[in-house]
This record gives sequence, C-alpha cells and structure tokens, in this order.
Amino acid sequence: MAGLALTLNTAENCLLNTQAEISTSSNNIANANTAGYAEETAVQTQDPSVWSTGGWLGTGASVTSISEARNNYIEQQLMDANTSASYYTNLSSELTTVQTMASDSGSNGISGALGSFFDSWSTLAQDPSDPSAQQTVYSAAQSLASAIQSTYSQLNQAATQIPTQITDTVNQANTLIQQIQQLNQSIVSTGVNSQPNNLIDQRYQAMDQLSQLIPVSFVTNANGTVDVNTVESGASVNLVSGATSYTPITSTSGITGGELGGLLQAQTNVSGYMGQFDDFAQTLESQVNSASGLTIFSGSGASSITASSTFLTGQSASSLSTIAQNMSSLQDSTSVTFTDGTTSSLQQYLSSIQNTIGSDVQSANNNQTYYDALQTQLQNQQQSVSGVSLDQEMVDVIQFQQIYQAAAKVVETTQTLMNTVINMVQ
Amino acid sequence: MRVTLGMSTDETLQNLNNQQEQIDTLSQEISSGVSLIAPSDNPESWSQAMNTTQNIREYNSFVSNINFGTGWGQATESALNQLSSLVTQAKSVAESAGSAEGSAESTTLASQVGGILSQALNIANTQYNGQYIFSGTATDTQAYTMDTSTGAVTYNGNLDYIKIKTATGISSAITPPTSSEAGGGMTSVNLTGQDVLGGSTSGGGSNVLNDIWNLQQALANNNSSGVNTAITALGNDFNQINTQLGSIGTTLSGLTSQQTALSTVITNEQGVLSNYQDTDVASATVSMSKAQAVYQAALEVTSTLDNMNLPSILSG
Repeated sequence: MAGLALTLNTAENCLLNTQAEISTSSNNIANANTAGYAEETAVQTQDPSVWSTGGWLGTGASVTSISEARNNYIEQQLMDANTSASYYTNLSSELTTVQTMASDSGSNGISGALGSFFDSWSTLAQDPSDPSAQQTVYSAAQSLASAIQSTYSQLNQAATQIPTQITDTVNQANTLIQQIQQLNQSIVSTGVNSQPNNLIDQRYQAMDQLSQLIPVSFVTNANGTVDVNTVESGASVNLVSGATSYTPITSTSGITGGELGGLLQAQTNVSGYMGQFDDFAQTLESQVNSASGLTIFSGSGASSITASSTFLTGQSASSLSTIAQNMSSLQDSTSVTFTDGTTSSLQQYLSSIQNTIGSDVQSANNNQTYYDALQTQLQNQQQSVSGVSLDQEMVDVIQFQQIYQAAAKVVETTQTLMNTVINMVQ
Repeated sequence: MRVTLGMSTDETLQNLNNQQEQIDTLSQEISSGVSLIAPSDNPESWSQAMNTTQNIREYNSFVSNINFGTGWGQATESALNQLSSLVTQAKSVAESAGSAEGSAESTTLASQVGGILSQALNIANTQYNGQYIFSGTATDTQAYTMDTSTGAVTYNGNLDYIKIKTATGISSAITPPTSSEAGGGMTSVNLTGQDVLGGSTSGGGSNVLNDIWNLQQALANNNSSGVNTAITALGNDFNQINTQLGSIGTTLSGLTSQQTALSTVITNEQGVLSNYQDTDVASATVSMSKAQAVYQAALEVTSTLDNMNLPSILSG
C-alpha cells in the first residue's frame, strides 16, 4: 500500500540509516590510530518493494551489517614479514652486543696482548739474563692469559642471559596462543553473523604480535574462528584449533623463526664463538709450552688459562736465548694446527674469529634492513585496505549530512502534504 | 592506492629514522676519524686491519732489535779497534826489545807490556748497556779473569750467540730448545771471547791475553827466543782480530740495509692500514651534507603533509 505514510516511513528509515552511517564514520575516525583496527562500513541493502499503481514501489533501505575491511592474503604476508624482521632484529641486537664484548681491533684485546707477549720475548733475546726483561715476559704472559679469560667470561655472561630471554618469549607466545583460542570461543558464542568486529580486531592484534615471536600461518573457518599453525623443525604444527583447543610451544619445539628463532640462533652463534676462543686458548697453551719446553700456560681452555710466574726460573742465558728464538718462530709460523682443524698463525686465527663475528652481525643487519623495509611496505598495503582514511571519512560525513538533510526535507514536505490533506477534510 | 592515516605516519617515521641513522653513522666516522668502528662494518677489512696492525708491531720490534744490534756491533767494533792497536803496540815493544841493552831496559819494556795487558783485559771485559759483550749469552758474567802471576786466563762466558729477530721467518721446526742454529730472520749480533781472543773456554790453548803475558814474561826474563815467539803469535793475533773486525762490519752493514728496508715496509703497511680503517674525510663530509639536506627536506615535507588533509581544510 503506497501513500504518504509509506513515504514518511521510508524517510524515517533513511534518517536512521544515515545516523548509523555517521556513527560508523565517527567510530572509524575515533579508531584511526588504534592498533589492529580495520575500517568499518555500514552496509545498506534495499528494502523489499511493494506493488502499487503502475508497478513496484521501493520502500527505502536498511543497514543490514557493519562490515570490516580486511584482506586475509595481505595479512598473512605481513605476518610472514613480521616473523623475518623480528628474527633478524633480535639476532642482530644479540650479536652486536657480543661483538662489542669480544672486540679486538688488533692493537688492543687478545691480539694486542699476544703481540706484547711476543715482543717481550724479542726484548728478552737481547739480554736473556736481564731481570727486568724477564719480568716483562712474565707480565705479558699474565696479561695474555687474563685477556683471554676476560673475553671468554664476558661472552659467557652474554650466553647465560639469552636463555632467560628465550623463556620470556616462549611465555609471551603461549599467552597469545591461549588468548587467540579464547577470542575464538567468544566469537563463536557471539555468533559470526552478529559481526563481533572488536573481537576480530583483538584477535588480529594477538596474531600480529604472535607473528613477531614465532612463524604463524592462519586459516579462517566457516564459524568465524581461526586455526593457527606454526613451523617446528620444518613441519607445520597446529597451535590453535578453532575454539576447541590450543597447544603451547616450548623452547625446544624446534622453532627457527621470529624473536624466538633469532634468540635460539644467537645462542648457537655465541657458543660457537666461545668454542673458537677456547680452541685458541688450548692451542696457544700447547704451542707455547711445546715451543719453549716450559710450562708457561696452564689450565684447560679459555675459561681457566693462567700463566705461571716462575717459568723462567733456573733457565741459563743460552737456553733462554734459544727459547726466545723459538717463540719468535712461533709468532711467524702460519702452520699452527688448531684443535678445530684450522691451520693458520695464532694472530690470523684471532682475526678470523673477528671476521666470523663481524660477518654474522653484518649479515643479520643487512637482512634486518631488508625485512624492515618489506614489513613497512606490507604494513602499508595492509593499511591501504584496512586503515582509516580521514579524507574519505570527511567526504562520507558530508555525503551523509546531505542525505540526512534531504530525508528531513522529505519528512517536512510530507508533513505539509498531510496538513493539506487534513485541511481538505475540514 | 588508497592512502590512509597509518600509512603516511609509519612511512614518514621510518624514513626520518633512516636518515637520522645515516647522519649518526657519518658523524661518528668523521668525529672518530675511523670508518671501521665494529667488525660488522666490514669484516674482511677489519681482520686485515688486525693482521696489518700486528705486522707493524712486529716490524717495530725488528727495528728495536736492529737498533740494539747496531749499538752492540758498534761497541764491539770500537773494542776490537782498541784491541788491535794494543796488539800492534805490544808487537812494536817486542820488536824494539831486540835492540835492548840490559836487563833494566827489558824490565821497563816488561812493565810497559804489563800496562798493555791490563788494558787488553779491560777491553776483553767491555760492557754495552751493562752487558759483557764478549761473554756469549752469559752477558751478566765478566768474560775474562786472569791470574797475572801464573798467566792463567779463564773464560767465564759461553760460546753461544745472541740472536735477535730482524726479519720475519721461521728457524727450523718449532721444537723445545735443543739446537741453536740461526736463520729464519735471526741475526747473530755478538762475537764470543773465543772468536776475538782465540784459545779455548777452559783457558787452554793460546789467546791474545796469554800471548801478551808470555811477551811480558819473556821480556822480564830477558828471553830473546821467547820474545821472538811472542812476536809471531802477536802477528797472528792481529790478523785474527782484523778478520773479526771484518765480520762485525759485515753484520753492521747488513743491519743498516735491513733497517732501511724495514722503514719502507712500515710506511707501506701504515698506508695499507689507513686505507682499511681511516675515514675518507672528504667523501664522508660530502655524504654528510647530502644526508643533512635530505633530512631537512624530509622534515619540511612532513610538516607540509601535516596540513594537507580534508579535516584541517574544512575546519578552516
């Protein structure tokens, strides 16, 4: 049944719809800077038409849902980039600290001490029986031993801090995994058709955070829940199965990506560097002792190497001269075999350790720069889809305002018409 | 592409951050004068710079050894020159004894030779920097003691050579000290008492001091055949000392040429090291001003962008 009442009704719906739309815009503007928020749109559909003289007459429109602008494909890509960027950021930060602790520029650090040690023998060769030259040899040997010990213990300290960070990361990841499963449950109980946008936003935010800690891939189910998977030792492992269950991870799960993967890799690298310093200390001890025929160094490896303070006692001038000669040969020997199988000079082995550490840090830094840029690019793409454009909202609001004004005019006009009709009756 | 609020702010922040990071790195390089601040800046150059630093240190130790060897050699040279002239003096005293006419004159000559003997003994015990230069490696032991009444000469030093490292190299295998062969960049700087004065370590055989003592005895006893024997012996001694003078001269000139070569090598290596680790100030300064310009432009664009949106225009 068409008539003025229908017109009034249609205009009323339009006023209500426009209010909902302006309210949605207002919500978008308010959340323009909220993490995890996706732009919302009030979706309008036409109301059913009624048969009237001459044909079907429209009866206006209704807001049927508030939809969110999301693109699962871009979001998954962004999470992958998060994982890689976070892996290299953490690896680079850990290794940069270690690099500073193990620093050796050639003029200081272990190299410097090794150089002074050889220099002291060179001076002793000039006057083997000179007590002050002998004293210099003792103190150079002790400085060398303590330089090795101090570098090693600094590395050891760094190495002992990493497991604490690993535990923290695992706990954080498990909290997020549990949170995602709980949000899945809330989404199911709210009903996916009722569009619980804020729950979906929170869940996205949790997955985004989780993707920084460990590699994450997700599948959206028909009931609105997501399944979250990760990669452990090269195989895909389910962490959250919809609203049903979740599986916590452990530090030994075999995860190789994200913050956790970065920390685990840093741990492996640091223990590798420590092993190299240990090799150096053991080889130095055995080579120096064998070249001199004296027990100059003792202890087992870099953690406990010490220098005796009496090794020259009782040596004749002529045997000291020969020892000094052997030490100078050891300095120039490039065929020292280290316990790890490397053959080089003592000094070259030290510079190769620095080269290894430097290369690791450099490669982590370069990868970090690359993945940071990739992450920013993907964040932009994600924001291009899901972000709030203030310009767009302003234009929309103006549009809604005009529609509202037009609908109000319809109400006003219809009222005048109704008054005319009523006056006709009087 | 739809541009939203989050995009422009994130991107601006990252770009500004990158610019600032670049400026920070450059200012660190310029202010420290070093472009290699950590191994990760250039791992290969860093380890090469380490090795080069250590090479320069080793070369400097060679220079210090060469200076020591040169000083020692010069002390030896001057001692040998004095000894040579003492032997010549003793020999001319002996030759003049042939025409001596009486025991009184012989006694005078004998006491003259006695003076020469004590000077020769002093020279045999010459010290350089507190080290006895003719004692082998036992440099804190006085080389010779002599009982002037019996003429017994005792050599207290050893027959070893002081070997200093003056060039890179490896002498035979690195083994516990059993042998004392030179080579492998080692230079032997000293002459033992035996090289210079002759005789054996045990004091047996005849050395320069014995020969002078024998001359003194022959003159005191007016023994003309003894004097003649002494003249022959002293002639041989003179030749022996001159041979050693030649050998020390060779050592000294060898050290000098090594030092010249080393100073060139050190200069080269310092150039290499500087290439590895020093900041190219000119290019760093240019990069710095470029980075500054970019940063300022980025800041200006950011402040302009701030006003370029509909809400701010609508609100007038």
